[in-house]
Amino acid sequence: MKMPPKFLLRLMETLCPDNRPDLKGDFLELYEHREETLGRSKANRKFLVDCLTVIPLNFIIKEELRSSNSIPMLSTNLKIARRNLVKNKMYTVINLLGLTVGLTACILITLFVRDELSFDKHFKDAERIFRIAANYNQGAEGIVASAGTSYLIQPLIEGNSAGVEHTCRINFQSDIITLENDKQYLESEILFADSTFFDIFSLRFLRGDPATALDKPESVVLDKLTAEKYFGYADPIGKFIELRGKQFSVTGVIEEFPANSHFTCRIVFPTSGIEEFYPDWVLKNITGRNSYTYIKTQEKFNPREFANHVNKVVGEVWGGDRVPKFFLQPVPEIHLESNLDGEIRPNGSKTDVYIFSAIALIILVLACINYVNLSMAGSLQRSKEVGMKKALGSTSRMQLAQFQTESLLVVMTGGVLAMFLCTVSMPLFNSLTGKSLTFNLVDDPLIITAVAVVAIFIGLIAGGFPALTLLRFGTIGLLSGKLQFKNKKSYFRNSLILFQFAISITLIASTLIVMDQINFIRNKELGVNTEHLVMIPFQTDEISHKYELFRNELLKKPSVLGVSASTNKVTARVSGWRPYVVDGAKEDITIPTVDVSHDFFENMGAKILDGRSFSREHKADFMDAYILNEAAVKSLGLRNPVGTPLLGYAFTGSVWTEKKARIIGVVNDFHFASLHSNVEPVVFSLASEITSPLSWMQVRIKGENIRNTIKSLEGTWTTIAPERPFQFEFMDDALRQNYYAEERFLRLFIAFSVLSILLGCLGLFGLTAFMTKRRTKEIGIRKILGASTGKLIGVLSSDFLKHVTIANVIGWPVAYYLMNNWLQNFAYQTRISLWIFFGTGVAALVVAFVAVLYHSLSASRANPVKALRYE
Amino acid sequence: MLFRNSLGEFEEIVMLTIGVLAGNAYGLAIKMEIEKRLGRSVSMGALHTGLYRLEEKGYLRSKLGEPTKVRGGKPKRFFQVTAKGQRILKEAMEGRQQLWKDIPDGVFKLFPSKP
Repeated sequence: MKMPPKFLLRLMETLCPDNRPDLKGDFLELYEHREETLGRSKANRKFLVDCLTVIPLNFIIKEELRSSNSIPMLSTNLKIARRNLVKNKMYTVINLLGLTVGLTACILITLFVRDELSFDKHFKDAERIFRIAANYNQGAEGIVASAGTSYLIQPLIEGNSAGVEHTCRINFQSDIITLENDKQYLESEILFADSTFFDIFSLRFLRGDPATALDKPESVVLDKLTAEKYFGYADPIGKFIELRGKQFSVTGVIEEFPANSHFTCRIVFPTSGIEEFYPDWVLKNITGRNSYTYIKTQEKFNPREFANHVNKVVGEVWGGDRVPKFFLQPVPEIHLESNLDGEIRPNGSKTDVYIFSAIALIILVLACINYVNLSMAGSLQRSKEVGMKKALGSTSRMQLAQFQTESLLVVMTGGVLAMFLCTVSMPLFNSLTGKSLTFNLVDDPLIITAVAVVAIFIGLIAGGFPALTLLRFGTIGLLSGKLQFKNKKSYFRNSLILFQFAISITLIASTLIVMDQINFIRNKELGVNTEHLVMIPFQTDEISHKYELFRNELLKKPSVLGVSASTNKVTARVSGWRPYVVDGAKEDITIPTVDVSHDFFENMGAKILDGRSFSREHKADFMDAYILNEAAVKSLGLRNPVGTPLLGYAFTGSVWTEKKARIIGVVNDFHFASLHSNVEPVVFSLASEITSPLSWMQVRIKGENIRNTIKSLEGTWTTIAPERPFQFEFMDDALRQNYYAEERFLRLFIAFSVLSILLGCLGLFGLTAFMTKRRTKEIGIRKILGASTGKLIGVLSSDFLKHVTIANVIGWPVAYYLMNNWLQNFAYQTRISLWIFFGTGVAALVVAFVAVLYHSLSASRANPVKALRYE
Repeated sequence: MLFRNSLGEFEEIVMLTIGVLAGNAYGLAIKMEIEKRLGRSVSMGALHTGLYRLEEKGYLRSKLGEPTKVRGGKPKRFFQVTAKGQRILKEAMEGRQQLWKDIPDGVFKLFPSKP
């Protein structure tokens, strides 16, 4: 008899209602008839069309089934589901655990990613707000892209550029605020901003009018929290606060600044009111970079044209060939894409977002794979149930419903547990990510919907797989209990295990490499001693002039080992690029300059490699001495640096002077800033009246009793400089800040790779349970024939271990490739050692073996007689 | 099914054809017979939907035959018109005849309504 092609048959099987076998018969008979009269291809085509025409019939028949039968069926399904789940407790627990953990991880990562993506988008018309940044040409190869710009840029473009609605400069400060009742508060989130600030950044005003709040010089806007801190619940409008001896009256109260912004602040002063506090170099120096300049544009706007315009205008004022090249950054992109010099605070990274999204997806897939795998294996146990139902006339749709009810029940429970777990683990997750996310189901219906959709999806698929597999076997086959999945099926399952372990191995190897790199960075010789070094900012020029006084006072304390000062924060990137001319050379070379006090190198623990350090005995050192680091010697191309005359410039912040001097010494390369970049060449010069004022003091203290030492440092500060608050940082802490992003990355990475391997093992554990059960008889026979326990364990676990080994071979190159890319972020990289891969491989094998061991051991110890009787 | 007492044209044809086929009225036979006699094509879906509906309304009754080696081992379903079905067919026929009868002379010029 002629039959239509397989795929058409299958199509017919799916499209024809189950309870109409006669319809299928009609189809086949008609096909045969047509095949004889019309030929094969035409018959096929007509068959296909006929198949499609019976689709509506399904709905009509289903409608009837549902109306008559579905509620009692559902309750029966639920009852059977419950019994099954309770009967296979271990299987249920493993499934629930896997799903819950997987979903939890997924939800948490989703929250993280969503937060990262939401940065700055909450401002009204965010896409029309830009930040002006610039590439500063330092000569030689030194081009620095900086987020900060001069205070003087804004007036140049204000009212002078097409398409721009508002311009605004902001500048961050921390200072003491004094209330009328003489109470003082140290505030670290003070913003100096032009009066257009609230026109550009829309913030909700609780009191006051955003349009006029910063118009008067003596006005100030507080956020809600600060207002309550200062004035309680009284109306703050019109009240006065004092900054640096000047009174400001509160004109507005804003909501707290959204945390998902690339900067935040609590107190906003108008530039017009605080301009008098700015030192000369800010007000006059066009090369300064202390302000951040923002613009809000009109609908129609061409960023490139605008940047060209700015470059032209600034070029005219500035002159010379080292005019910075300005460019615009859309504000919503700053958090993930901008990584310039002088960012307001550490930004996120797009790569991280991609990586974590991928991890979330992987974990979800792992959980699904596990679940499908386990339910497939579990369903084998139920062939008799399915066979019996089939014999009694249950349709495949009803059987499918049974399986899906069960898996939906498990997945839904998993989803609810996951949400509970998310709520509980939120503080932990926040401490891992350094964010302050909340998980609130009421405010966040999207998450609950997403979880429900994902859960239903997994449930339907995971329930559908085993049911459809089982239903392929004939009734007799199912009832006889002699089911064997064909080889093809176990390929599918095995490749799932393979895939799972390959992912876990990639993650573990990557984690180890990240850890290795971070350790490498931490332990790399920085060239200086970073321990127990307190860095204190002078804050103002007046205080800076009291350095000698500080030094004398501090050195009297037994806990202080050394004191020095510099114009540069020793953990920040060097700046102050100046041209230097070697004696006889025609061209200058630009090198960063750091002005330091006496004892700087000694106090920092740097080594003088050649010549001598600055000395109090040589009075001429002030005017006639440079010390170079090795990189600078190299960059100037000097053979015998000591004694070479060098022409440079000194800058007080407003006045330039030529400084002709000799090189008196060479110091070893030590790192300012992070190991992301190479050691830069630096010229050191002794601080004097013709150099810029010292701005940071370094105090080396003893390792014991640090808390008391800091207190006594603070005491000295308050007696000498009572007008400003005492601030300090430890050098090692500050250095660690440079690797904040990496450490956060590492912590999250570790957490999630541990989760993934856990999920993998959980799956393996469950799977062996079923496999060994299925092979009970085989084990019994082997045992009777004299197989030892060890041999049996080998037989049972070799299959899995083989897959884990292959997974290694896949996982290693992937991890190598990914991590090699990641390491390109660093100027100093650890070598990826083979041991990491071997270690990962061995660890994965051991863990997999342990997961398998439990069941294979108990199976091989069981009484073989029992095993043989087992059915 | 209160309001499903009227018969559609297709339904009427199906029921009449079942009568014509006497004891051998199963799905495919009905389809072929209609196609042969009326020269119109009938889709599988439409026919079986019609049969299902008619049975649901109680105008048809069906019985599964024995599965045979042909037809992929699938049984045939044989249909019969129930008494209720016959009654409704008769009503339909009479209704129409009455209509024909009542057409005044000379309105249908081509076909005089009264023979």
